[in-house]
Amino acid sequence: MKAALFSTCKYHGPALDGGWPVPGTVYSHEAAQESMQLSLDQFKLADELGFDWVTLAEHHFAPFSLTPNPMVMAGALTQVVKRAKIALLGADIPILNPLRVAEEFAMLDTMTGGRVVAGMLRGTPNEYVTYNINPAESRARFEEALHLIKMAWTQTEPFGWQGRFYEYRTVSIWPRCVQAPHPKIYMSGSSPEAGEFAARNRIGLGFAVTTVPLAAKAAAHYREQARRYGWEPEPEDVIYRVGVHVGKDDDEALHDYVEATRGGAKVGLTMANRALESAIAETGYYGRDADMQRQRLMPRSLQERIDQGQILLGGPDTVLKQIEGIKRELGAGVLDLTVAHQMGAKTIRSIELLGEKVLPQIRQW
Amino acid sequence: MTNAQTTAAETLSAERLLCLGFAAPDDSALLQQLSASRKIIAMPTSEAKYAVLAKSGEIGAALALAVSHAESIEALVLLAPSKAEVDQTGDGLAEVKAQVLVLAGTRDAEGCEAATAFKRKRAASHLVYVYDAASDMDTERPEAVAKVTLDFLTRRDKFLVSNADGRITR
Repeated sequence: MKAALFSTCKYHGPALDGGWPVPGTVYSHEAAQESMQLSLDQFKLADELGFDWVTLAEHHFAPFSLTPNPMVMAGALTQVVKRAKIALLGADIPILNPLRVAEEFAMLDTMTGGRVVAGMLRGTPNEYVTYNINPAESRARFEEALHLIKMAWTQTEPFGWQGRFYEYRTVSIWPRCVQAPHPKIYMSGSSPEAGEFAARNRIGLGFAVTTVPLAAKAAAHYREQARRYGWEPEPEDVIYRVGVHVGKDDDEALHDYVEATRGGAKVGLTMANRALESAIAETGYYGRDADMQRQRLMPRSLQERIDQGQILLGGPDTVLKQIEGIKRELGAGVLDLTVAHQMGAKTIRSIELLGEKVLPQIRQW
Repeated sequence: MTNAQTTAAETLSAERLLCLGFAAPDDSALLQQLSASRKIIAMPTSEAKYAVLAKSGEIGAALALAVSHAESIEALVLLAPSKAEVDQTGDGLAEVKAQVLVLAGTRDAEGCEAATAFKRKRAASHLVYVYDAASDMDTERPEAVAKVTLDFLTRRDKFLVSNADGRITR
């Protein structure tokens, strides 16, 4: 089993609370700079401690994440992270220019000598408001954009593209990917439609902002569909993202985490603006099991989050048992460990404990 | 290897369009759309300049015509050429004076490969993939094929440069 360290590069400074988008009224440049540097330092530490990947994501218009373009952060990471793969989970391709995405991934793959993992996501529902893209078109845009990106990576003759959403007259990207034929691709896989598409196209699947039972159900559907298309996903084809805090023992971990989240559980980006979320849901964004998709985004108590595998919390032995449960129920081959709350030296210690006590064990699984 | 330079050819192309390989031209959604701005003809003519649109199976005939009627044929649009058709193109390809657009459907793996091979043989041609279409792209996505075809016939090499109006309101 492999381990990744994920950070949204959260902003740690003054900000107005709640809602989406979040106004920049009380924004601090200094705090933002420090927050970004903190993330860079943590990724560097993870690389030194033997994490297999470091992971970035794309989110907009909120202090939850300072990487609206994770490619920029990844560019900086190429100069800091010397061994681990740099995973972008991902680029929200339906709201972006697919050719730009193809070019940026190829740049990063070149700069790292072939250490890039290419997550291609639809993004959280609110992201469709960001660049004014109709969420009803999300899935169709995603499928076409992904096809175009793969073509841009692999076709060596200049070509044009007459699509349903994208139209280009001549394409020939430089630089080109180091990994042949291209970096490993993952997509988000909570919905049945996503599992079917990933299976049909031999794409890896990532689960985030969900629970182990829901992810296990979706992963089973993915594997069943893959068999229909004549292949068997490897463990590494399934990523599970989970929050984590490790202390020297269970009591310390729980105490520190509760202290850090004393303000109560924060709602995610999607549910931060319920009116917007409802409007997006009405467009059919969630697909055919909309109720379940929305359910997984609902805030839960800490105990529920622990019980359902949304957070790993405890001393190293407890966290190992929790990971064992995820491995057993879901069969995930990559654990994307999220530093969800920054606690200064305690967060650093948590990453160190993961590297020293947890990773050596799970690597054998 | 020579570099494929885009030539600045005249932008107004022939009004006539010779269509080859369409079993029932009157029922073709593609030809109906093209006929709004082109006069569809069924036979080669030497009396006026014209363009040729050929489907798979008639690609060889279209290329031969482009050589034998080099003074008349200004542009060629080739839909889903087969591997055999591309393999059969030889030195004669160099004698084709017309500008060439090759279309391949993204669900047509063999057609994509053949179209790429054609592009390698004739670097100055234009290769465009029609997304979510197979070899019968003219029936699957006639609007997409018509759009790129008309743009090419009207502006030829200059169709590489967008002339779309990007303003939200005028």
